Amino acid sequence: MGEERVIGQPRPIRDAASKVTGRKAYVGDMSLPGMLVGKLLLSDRPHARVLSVDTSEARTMPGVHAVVTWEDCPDVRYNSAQRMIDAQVPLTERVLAREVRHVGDRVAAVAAETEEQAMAALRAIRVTYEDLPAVLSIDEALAPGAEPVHGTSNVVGVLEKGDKDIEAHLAACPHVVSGSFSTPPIHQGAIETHCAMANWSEEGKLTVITPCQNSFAYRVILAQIFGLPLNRVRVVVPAIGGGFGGKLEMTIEPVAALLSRKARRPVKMVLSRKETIMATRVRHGSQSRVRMGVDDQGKLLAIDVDCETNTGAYAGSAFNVAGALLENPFQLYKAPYVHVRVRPVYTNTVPGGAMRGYGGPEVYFATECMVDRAARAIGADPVEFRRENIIAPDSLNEEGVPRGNPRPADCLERASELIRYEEERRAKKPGDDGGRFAWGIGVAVGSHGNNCHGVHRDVASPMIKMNEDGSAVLYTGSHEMGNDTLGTQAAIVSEVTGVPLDQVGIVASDTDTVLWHIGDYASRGTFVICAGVKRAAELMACELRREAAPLLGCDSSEVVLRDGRAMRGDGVPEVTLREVMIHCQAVTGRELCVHVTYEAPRGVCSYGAHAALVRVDRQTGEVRVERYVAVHDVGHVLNPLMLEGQLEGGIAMGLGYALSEQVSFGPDGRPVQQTLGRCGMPRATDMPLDLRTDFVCADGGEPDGPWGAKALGESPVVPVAPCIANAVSDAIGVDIHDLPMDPARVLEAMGRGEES
Amino acid sequence: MIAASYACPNTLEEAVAALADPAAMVIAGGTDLMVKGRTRNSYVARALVDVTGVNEMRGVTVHDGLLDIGAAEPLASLVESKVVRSLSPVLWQAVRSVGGVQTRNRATLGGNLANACPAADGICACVALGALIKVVGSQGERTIDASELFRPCPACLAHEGMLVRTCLFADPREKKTTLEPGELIARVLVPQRAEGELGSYVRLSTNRGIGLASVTASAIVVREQDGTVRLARACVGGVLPAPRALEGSELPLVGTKLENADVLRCSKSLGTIMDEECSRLANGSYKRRVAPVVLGDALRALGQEGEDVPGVPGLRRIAVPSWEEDR
Repeated sequence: MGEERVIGQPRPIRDAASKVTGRKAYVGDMSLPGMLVGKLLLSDRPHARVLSVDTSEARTMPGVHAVVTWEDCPDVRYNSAQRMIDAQVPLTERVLAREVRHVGDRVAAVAAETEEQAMAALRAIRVTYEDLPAVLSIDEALAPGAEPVHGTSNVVGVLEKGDKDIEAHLAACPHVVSGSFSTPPIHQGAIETHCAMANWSEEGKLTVITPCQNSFAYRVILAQIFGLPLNRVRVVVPAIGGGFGGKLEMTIEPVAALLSRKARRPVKMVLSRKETIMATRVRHGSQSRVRMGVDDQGKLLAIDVDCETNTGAYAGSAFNVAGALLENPFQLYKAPYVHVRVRPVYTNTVPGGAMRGYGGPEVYFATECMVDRAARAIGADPVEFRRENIIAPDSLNEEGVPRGNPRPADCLERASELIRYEEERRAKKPGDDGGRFAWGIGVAVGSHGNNCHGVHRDVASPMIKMNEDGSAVLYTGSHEMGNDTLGTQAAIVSEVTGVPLDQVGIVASDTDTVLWHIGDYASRGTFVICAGVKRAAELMACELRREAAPLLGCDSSEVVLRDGRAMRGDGVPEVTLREVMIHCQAVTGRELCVHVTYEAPRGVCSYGAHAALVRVDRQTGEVRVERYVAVHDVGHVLNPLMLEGQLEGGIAMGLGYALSEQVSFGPDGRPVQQTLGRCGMPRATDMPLDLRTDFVCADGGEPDGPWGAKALGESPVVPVAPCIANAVSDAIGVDIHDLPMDPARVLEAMGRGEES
Repeated sequence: MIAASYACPNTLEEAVAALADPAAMVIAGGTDLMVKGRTRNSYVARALVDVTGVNEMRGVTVHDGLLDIGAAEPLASLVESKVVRSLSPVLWQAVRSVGGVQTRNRATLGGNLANACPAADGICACVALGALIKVVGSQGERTIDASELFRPCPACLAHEGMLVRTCLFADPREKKTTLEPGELIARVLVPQRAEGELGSYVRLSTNRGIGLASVTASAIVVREQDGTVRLARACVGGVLPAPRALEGSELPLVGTKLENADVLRCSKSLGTIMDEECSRLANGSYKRRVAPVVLGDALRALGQEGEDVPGVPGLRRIAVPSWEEDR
C-alpha cells in the first residue's frame, strides 16, 4: 500500500458537480413520447374492506386514458422486499388493495394526459368502504382479541438466537440491570420523492425506469406479478436522488406498469412528499426490553434482548430487518451468554421497511443505554466498562466464524481521546448546582455488517471490456447511491488496469445490460462489490499484460500498467494501451472482456465509537450537542474526501433520530407528519459546531477487503442516539427510554426524576 | 399550483383595482400560499394578485421617527439592510429567524403579517415594537396598530407548532385578520429604536426542522437613568389565540428595576393568561411550562443577566454558556 495513484487519494464524487448544479437528469425529469401522468388514490382509513370502487365518471373525463382498481390487478400476492427468485417470504401485498390496511394504502390509480386531468379524475372516483377495527401500535396489535391485520395473528413470526438458558445465567449474575425502550418509525427523507416510469412494448415487454436500489429484485417481483419470463422485464435505474433504504422495496412500480398496460402508453408517476411518507416505507418502530448481568469485577456476563418491531401493514422487510437486528447484540461484547428474540408485528400503519442501519439504530439504542446502566450498577466508568468487555481483533463470532480485523476498542480509545474524556469527566459540571443548564458526557459504540450473509447469498458480478483506443467500460449492477458507489468502482478499475480514470466508462443498474446483482444495501458496496470489481480488474490486467508482452519483448509477468500505458518493469520500452488494443484487435484477433462472480467472506463487521458533550436546558428541555466525536473502523480508506462526507451525513441522520424525528399516527391512523418540515430532520445549522471525526486502521485493515477496506455505509447512524441519550442521562441524572428526545420528553423525564 | 387567474400590477392603484374582484386575493412571495396551493389545491377559483411588483410596496425609508418598510420587500433585503438593523434591531433579529435563506429570499414582511400565523416571527416582533400597519383599499387608506390586525383563531391553537401547512384557511386574511375584503397591507411602520431602548427576540422550536418556532417572545424596555423601567412591552407567539401586546398589568414591569423577581411576576402573569385563554392549545402542557420561560428569557435578556449582541446596538440576548466558559 501507499503506491496507489487513484485509490486512497481524495477525489470528489463522480457526479457531484452535475447534481449540485441541477444538471443531473433524474427519473422525474425524464419523459417518453406519448407519456401519460399517473396518480394514486390512497386510502384515508387505516383498515377497511373495499366494497366498491365506482370509476364510471372518472373513466369518461377529459384526457383520462386508464383507471385501475383491484379488479384490474393480476390476482397475485407478493412481497415487496423479495430479492431472490427462490426466496421463501410471506406474500401479503397486492398492487391495489381489496382490503386497505393503512392510511395511504393503494386503492386505485389514474393515467391521464396532464396532472390536472389525473387529479380531477381521482376526485371523481367513489369508494365505498366497510370499516374494520384498526390496530395502530405494537401494544394494540398484541392485545388479546386484537383484530388481525393478516391471517390470525399480528405476530409475523418469532426470530430467536443465542443461549436458551439465559434466565438461569442471568439469575446467577451478581448484578442484573433491566430497562424498556422504544424507538419511533421515521421517514427516510431522500430529497427525491418516489417516482417510476413504465412502458410496455408492442411485443409485450415491460420496461420500468425507476430510482431504486435493487433493480434485479424489482425484476423478479414484476415478473411474478405480471406472469412474465425475466427476459420480458427490464428495470433501469438512471439516477437516484437519495435512497437510504427507502427505495429498496418495490412500491409504485407495478401500479405504473398496470396503468401503462391498460392505456397502451408510457406512464410516469411522481409521488408528493406526503404520498412518499404515507404510501412507501418508514424505518421500523420498535420496543424492547433489555437485561444485562454483570459480575463484581465488571465483566459483562449475560445480555438478553426481547424486541418487537413494527412492520406495519405488510410483511415486506419484516424478517429481513428483524433478522439483521437479531445479529447485533452478538457483535460488540465478549459476554458469554447472549440471547435475543425479535418479533415483527403487523399494525395498520405505514409499512416498516429498510432504512440506513437496518435494525442497528433500534437495538443499539436499547443495548448501549443499558451498558451505561450496567456500568453504573457496579460503580464503573462507562468507557472503562466498555474497554474491559469489548471484543478483540482476533476473535471468533458466536457462530465460530472469524470476525476479521474488528477494531471497536481502537475506535473507543481514539474517541475518548478526541472528546478529552478523562479531563471532561473529571471537570466539575456547572449544572450540578441546579442551575439553568445541565451538562453531560456520553459514549456509545455500534456496528454494522458488510454483506448479507446470515440472510441469503451475497455475490458481486462485475464485467469489464476494453475499447480499441485503450479505454474501458465497467458493467456493474450497482446503483449510484450518492456516495460515489460507481466512481469508486471506476477508480478501482483505473488503479488496477492503468486505464486513466476519465477513460473508464460505466454502464450500471440496467437488468438487460449487466450481470445479475443483488442490489445496493447492507453496506456491501466496499467489502463485496468493490472487492469483486478489483478481482475483475485484475483479470483484465492479466489480459492486457498478455497482449502487451509481445509488443514489449518481455514476459507478461514483467509488464507494468500505468497511466494508459504498458511498460516493462524498468519503464522502457513502453506502449500505449491504445497500441495494445489495436494489436489485440488487428493481430491477435481478440476482444477483451472479463467478468467474475465474487463471494466475500462472512463474519466481518464495521465499527464506530461516538462521544458527545451535551447541554440540557432544565427549563425548556432543549438538548444542544456542544461537541461530537465519531471514530470509525473502516480498514484502509479508499477515498478520504467521500468518507468524511458520508460520516458527517450519517451523524446528521443519527442526530435527527436521537432528538427530533418521528412519524407518529393519530387516532384515525393518519401520519401526523405529512411534510418534510414536520419530519424533524436536522439542518446544517443543527450540526454540532465542534465536530471531530477520525478513522482507525490497524495492521493493514480488513484482510479480505479491497486494499484492506471495509464499509462505512450504515454504521455512522447506529451509535448516535444512544450516545446522545447517555450524555443527556449523565446531564440530568435520569434515564432515557424513548426516542426522539424532544424537549417535551426531556422535561417530562426530568419531572419523573424529581418525583422519584 | 393552479389558480383561476394571475395579475401582476405595478402600482398600488392597479393592485387595489384588481382586488375589487371578490375572488381576488393577494400573493407576495408565495412561501405560505404556494404550499397550500400545491398540497391542497386551495386556489383553483381564486384570482391571484401578485404585489411584489408594486412600487409603493417596496423599499425601506425613514421618516418621522419611523422605519417605513414596503410590505412586499423580501425579508432577505431587510436582513441585509443596515438601516433595519440599526433602527430596529428586534425586527431585524426576528426576520432573520424566518425559515431558511431560500424562504427569506421570497417571503415578505407583509405576507408574514397577513398570513396571520400566531407563531410567525415577524408578527411577534411587530406587535412588541408597537408597529403600525398601513392598510390600503378601495375606500382609501387607514393605519392601525399591529395588534389590531389580528382576530382570535381558536383553530390555530389546536395545531401543534402552528405550522403553516396545518393552517386550515386557504385565505387567512379573511378568517384571521381584521382586513376588509379588497384591502391589503401596503407598508409596515416600525417606530425607530428610542434612545436607551433595549430589545430582545427569543424563539424555541420543539422540532429542529426549518418550520415555525413553537414559542416566540419579543420584548422591549426603556429605562430611566437609575434603571427604573419607564416603558415595557412584549409579545408571545405560538401561545395565544391572537397575537397581542403584553403591557400594563399583563406585564407588570414599569416602575421596577427589572430584577429576577419582577421577571418571574411577568412569567406568572403569562401563565395565568394561558390558563384562561388557551385550553385548546395543542401540546398544551409543554407550552404551558415553557412559554413563561421563553418570555422570561426575553425579559431577562434586557436586564443584568443579558448581554449585548455584538455589532447590533440595542439588541440583547441571554448569555448562554458554552462548556468551556461554564466550567
